[in-house]
Amino acid sequence: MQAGTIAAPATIAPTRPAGPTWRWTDRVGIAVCWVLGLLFCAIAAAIVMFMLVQGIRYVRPSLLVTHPTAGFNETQTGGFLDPLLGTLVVSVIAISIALPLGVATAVWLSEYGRPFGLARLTESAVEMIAGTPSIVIALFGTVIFSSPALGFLSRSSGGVVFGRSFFAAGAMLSLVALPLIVGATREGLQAIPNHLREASLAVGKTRFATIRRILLPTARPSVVTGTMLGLGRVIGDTAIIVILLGATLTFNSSGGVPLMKVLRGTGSTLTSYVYQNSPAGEGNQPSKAYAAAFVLLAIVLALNAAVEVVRRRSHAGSWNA
Amino acid sequence: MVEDSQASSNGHGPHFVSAPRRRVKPSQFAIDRMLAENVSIAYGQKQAVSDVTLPIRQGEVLALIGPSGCGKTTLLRALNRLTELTSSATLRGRITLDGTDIATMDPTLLRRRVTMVFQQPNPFPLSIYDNVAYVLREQGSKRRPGRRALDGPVRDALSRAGLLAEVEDNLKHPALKLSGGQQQRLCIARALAAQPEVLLLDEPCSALDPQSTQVIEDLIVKLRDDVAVVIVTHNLQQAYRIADYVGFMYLGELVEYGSGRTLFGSPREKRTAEYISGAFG
Amino acid sequence: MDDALLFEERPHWWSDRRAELMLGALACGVLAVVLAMVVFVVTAAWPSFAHNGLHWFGPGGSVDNQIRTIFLSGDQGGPFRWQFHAWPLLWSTFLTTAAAVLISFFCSLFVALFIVEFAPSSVRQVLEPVIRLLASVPSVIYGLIGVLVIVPFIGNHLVSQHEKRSVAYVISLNGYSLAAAVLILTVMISPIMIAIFCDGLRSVPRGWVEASLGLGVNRWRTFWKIAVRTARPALIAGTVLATARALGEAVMLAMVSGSVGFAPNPFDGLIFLFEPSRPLAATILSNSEELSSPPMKHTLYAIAAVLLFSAAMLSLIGWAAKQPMKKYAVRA
Repeated sequence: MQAGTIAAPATIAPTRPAGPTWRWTDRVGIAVCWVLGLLFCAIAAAIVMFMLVQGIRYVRPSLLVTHPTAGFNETQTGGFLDPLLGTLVVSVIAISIALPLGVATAVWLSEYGRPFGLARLTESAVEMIAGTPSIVIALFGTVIFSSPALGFLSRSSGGVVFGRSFFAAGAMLSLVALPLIVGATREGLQAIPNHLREASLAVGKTRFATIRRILLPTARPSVVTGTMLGLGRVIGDTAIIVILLGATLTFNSSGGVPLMKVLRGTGSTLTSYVYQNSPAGEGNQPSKAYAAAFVLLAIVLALNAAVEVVRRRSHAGSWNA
Repeated sequence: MVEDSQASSNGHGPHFVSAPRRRVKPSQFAIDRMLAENVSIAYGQKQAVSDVTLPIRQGEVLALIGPSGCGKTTLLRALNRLTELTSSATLRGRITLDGTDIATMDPTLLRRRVTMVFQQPNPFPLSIYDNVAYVLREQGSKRRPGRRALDGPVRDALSRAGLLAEVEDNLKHPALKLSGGQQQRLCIARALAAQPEVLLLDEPCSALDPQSTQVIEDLIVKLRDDVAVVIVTHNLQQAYRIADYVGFMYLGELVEYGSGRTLFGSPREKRTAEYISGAFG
Repeated sequence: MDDALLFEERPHWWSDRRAELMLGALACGVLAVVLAMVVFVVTAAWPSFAHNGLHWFGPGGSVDNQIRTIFLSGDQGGPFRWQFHAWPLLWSTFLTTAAAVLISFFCSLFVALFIVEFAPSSVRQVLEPVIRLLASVPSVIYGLIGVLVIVPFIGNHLVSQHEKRSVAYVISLNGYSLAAAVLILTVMISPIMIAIFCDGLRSVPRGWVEASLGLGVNRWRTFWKIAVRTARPALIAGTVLATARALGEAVMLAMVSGSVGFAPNPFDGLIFLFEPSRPLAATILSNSEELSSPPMKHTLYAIAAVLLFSAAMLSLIGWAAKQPMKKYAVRA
């Protein structure tokens, strides 16, 4: 490649001045990272500690089993059994609507999905629900449930339908949980490699049987994760409850049929109880508010921890471990 | 096959391909640049490289050959301390650059003097100009070099990499839209922009077609006067074509080290002869 | 015992065709619900817009008085009153949301970089669950802590008596303020951004990071210049999601930002941070008892329609912002 003779090597590559490799802005950047990271830890710790302290101060087991009563000062107003049960009822309604609907939607989007235009639209619709503020969903609920068609689902007096009931709140809360369930289920289904589907179809099973017998059981951890995340959102939601549940302290049933009358009536949940008892609501009893908030936070954190456990366990046996 | 290895020990060169092959002209000079002394590298319990001693000289192309998993890539990455990115890696022995132990240097500074080109072309998602100017801009010195100051070095690096003629008219073109061979040459230009003293190449042509491979091989030989070149390759013919010195590694050991002519013509070790004649690998 | 493996004369009830139709119908049910939502809300909102025209968005008069008038007119019979100028509410929403998103963006970016690259693994294993924990705390608890801790703190310690007196004839600076709202909102929306930013940073191809380090560029610059730039679609997605959350936050803001429809005035100086206000979503919540009065109902729906429209616009902006980035990247 070279010409015949070459003189002594032209240069040894000049040694560059050993310049600094870090500018001071780089060091500042990393310092900021550390400060902010630790700051967030501190904030979370502060919130949990604070609620813990207040909880220990104010929570007594009797509160969990006493009905709330109207009263003038804090010793007279009873506990929050009804709100606690209210949270339970509303969660059950919401999840029992959102789970089948969400899984069905996710399965259709992931396994069938024709015609394509409709599938894209449905995807966008689910995303739109995810992005809609819950207060708008709440107002939408009042529109639907105060219309005569669905009037039987909520209390009415003298022909005027108020549109507030456990049914209404539960139904709208299912919309809140829906995108989470759809998202998690889709992820779970898409993580299953295709050769599994092909193998099942190759032995003659219908697509639906494949879904039912193989895919859904395999995707179960994702479905469970999604459901628990949705449940967390449902338990923590206040806006829909305040607007659609009537915020009566106790269960205020309506009508005669045993279970239906509770569901048609109004009541409260832990979240609306906290809201009403804070200075923003009517009650202004901080001690009760703290107590209920503590129980609420404990429930939500327990759910969170459960999600982490499911996630970690599913990673151990996942397809790409 | 037995006849072939006997024939090769007669000094006629390997016989498995009969087409005439270019053999690079011997280098005119050699300046010691780096020296690896008794280097051993382990990933946790697994020993990747055992007790290797090698010189690396400017003016020569050093090729590291050997079957998969023999530790040649690990050794290459240790030369600019990229093995430190893996937390389980431990290194014993000494590697020096111009007499200074590289473990005592700032790794970032070291990597500017000993740069690396990887197997898969990986230009950044920027324009061609910005790719080459990247290192020049991100130096630690106080002032960022302006456009005028950058133009010269960028064009220089591109021409040393043999790419300038092809991309000259549009340096703003996104780098990811170039062909594979052009991208790899861009990566070489990017590495050259920092004016390194040693250039490490990790199987640079394995993902490329023969034409691009030839262009890059010519390029490497042209570069060897300015930069010490170490190339890891799977391709024995490539090593034969361009290397001045060859190191054959097997299972982490440096089995044989010698000039290309000697190693391919009359290897001392039996394992070398077997590998070259295709008995394994 | 699976029927499908045995040869059967009659087709299985759950044939694929039927299953597909059923599932498709359920999925389209969801679509129908969303469409119904949009249609119903806009229809219910129309009277308020119709009576006010574009002045709906403008300033004029005290929003609180207008609300009271509207409600009473429907409640007590008599002609409905519709006049409503929502500017203070819009301005308050804009201020709160923009400030929270801006602060949160910077904090989240640095924290995400910290988690992905610069934190030692012990710190990372603590920080990630902590962020998820923050994301799952219900907003009413944030509001409770805000109203019982932060608001009194601001009212008693950060605002001097002199300042309070100076504006006492208009509003009372008792701690329900913009500052409290922005502070808590930032903490609420940061976990969303952090999670998405982390995902984006993690999906940067390792080859580029190695190449940059191998060229002798230090870790900070490598990540800042290459990884952050490559993760720009994730940055946008996270910001859009967080903004949507901030816009729709009603409970916490209703508890903390003050219950006055007042437009904070930046020209007031430092007091500006401590002035109360009430964003759109909080307005709906605070006045939700008054839904029985028809004109009030329509006005509240109008506010909801504005929120809905903003959320949709946000998604669109996010999608549009990602398009030009496809040019330089292998994936966007």
